[in-house]
Amino acid sequence: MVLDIIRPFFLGFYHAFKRTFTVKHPFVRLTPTERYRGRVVLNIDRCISCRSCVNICPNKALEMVKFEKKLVPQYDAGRCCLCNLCVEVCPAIALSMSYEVEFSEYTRKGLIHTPDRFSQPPKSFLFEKTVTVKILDKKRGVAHR
Amino acid sequence: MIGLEFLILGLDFPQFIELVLKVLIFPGLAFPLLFAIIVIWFERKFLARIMLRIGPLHIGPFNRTGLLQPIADFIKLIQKEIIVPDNAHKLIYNLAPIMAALVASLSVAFIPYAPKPGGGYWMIFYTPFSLLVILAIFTARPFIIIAAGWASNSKYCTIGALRAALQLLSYEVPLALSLASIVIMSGTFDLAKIVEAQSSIWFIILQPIGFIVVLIGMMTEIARRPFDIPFAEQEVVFGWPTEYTGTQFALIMVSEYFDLCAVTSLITVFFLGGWSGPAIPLLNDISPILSGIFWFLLKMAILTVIIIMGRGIFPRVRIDQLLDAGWTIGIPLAILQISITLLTAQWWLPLVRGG
Repeated sequence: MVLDIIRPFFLGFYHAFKRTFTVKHPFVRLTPTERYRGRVVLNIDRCISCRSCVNICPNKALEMVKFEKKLVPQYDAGRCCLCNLCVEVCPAIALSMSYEVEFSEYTRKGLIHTPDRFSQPPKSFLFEKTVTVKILDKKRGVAHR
Repeated sequence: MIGLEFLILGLDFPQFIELVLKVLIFPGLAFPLLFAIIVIWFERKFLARIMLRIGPLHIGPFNRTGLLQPIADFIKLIQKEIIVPDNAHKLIYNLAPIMAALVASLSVAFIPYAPKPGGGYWMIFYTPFSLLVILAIFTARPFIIIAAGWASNSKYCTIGALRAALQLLSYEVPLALSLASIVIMSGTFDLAKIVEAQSSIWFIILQPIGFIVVLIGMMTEIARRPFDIPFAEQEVVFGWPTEYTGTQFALIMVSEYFDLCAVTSLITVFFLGGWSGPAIPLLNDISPILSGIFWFLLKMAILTVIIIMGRGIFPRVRIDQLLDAGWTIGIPLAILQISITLLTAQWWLPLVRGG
């Protein structure tokens, strides 16, 4: 019984000086995995204005608008559930998922990505330090499965 | 203006400066506040490390350690609105947090932190019965808690206050009994004399059972994790301070850490030999008081780490288990300690009373 009370103290100290599972997130980031689903990105040159993405979208996050004499989808990040259906259905491979996750804005209007913004490549988040999961697993010595 | 205050207190200038230092800086106002800030930060960071997390990291200097997080929290709490629930007893409800902070910080005034070279001790108010005064202050705490819980007029507060009352009142008995064996051993109610009795051997070696009972009793008194039944988040939202907001909540949180400060100082005085320790060369050159304070703070820090760690490594006990343990294990152990102390008097008397 006494051992049951003393053992946790040793375990606690043992854990306190171990490497943490988490990273200092906004300053150090984990690189996303290969098939990570972030914001959808449009390639305007490839788009054939077929509307299949608009039709299949379950949340009506996509909407056709005119942009440089061409009908292309406009993207509402607030409605998108990142379900990947539009990317799968696109016959011209104009849509793709990026690894961008931080698209919060202060207004609802700010969440709407006009075709111009929709076709921008994802914001680079590699500005400070990045750690891949594999390196982290090696360093912390404890595998989390 | 300064001259006038001398006349009122009947002190000369160095004595007046000493009094101001005592009341405002070391054992007085600034020390428990600083202790609270540092301990809140350390608790969050250390518990996070035990759970393999990082803890607060955004606010403050030194490579993202989150050092100023408690101060930021405090500023946030001060800005918030004070909400008094309907049908609450306004006077008692508003008075309780102030009283809690006041009573919690009172006991620091009677604890000796270091000896002075020319006789006397570095403490705010010297009285030969400081142990009794401390016990009296500890008895006042459950009634503030009951008053706050009842005045809030909310079921969580009431249940939390009743739990706190049960726990605090029942653990005062083993606590007082184990302190009795210390009084028997040192032959005095004076905390400073108790520390002086430990100059050759600490009471933790002479009374290990008493130390365990006092540590658990004190942890129960201030409701730290394995015994934080009055605050149990999963059962009663936050116990008796549930309804408090803003500054009042900040006062209650600060009062808990004042209590932690008082409790760790008291255990240091009772069992760990207070300020006794080899003189530190650099500090001793400035003043021997600083050397004593250093050892006192070091022992307090070790105790604080042990008490805080309970929150990361132990599950909470049930109220019936706790009360059962208090009445059936705590009190017999305390009485056992008293009888052992009395039966082995011929061996410890020369060690303690300087025979």
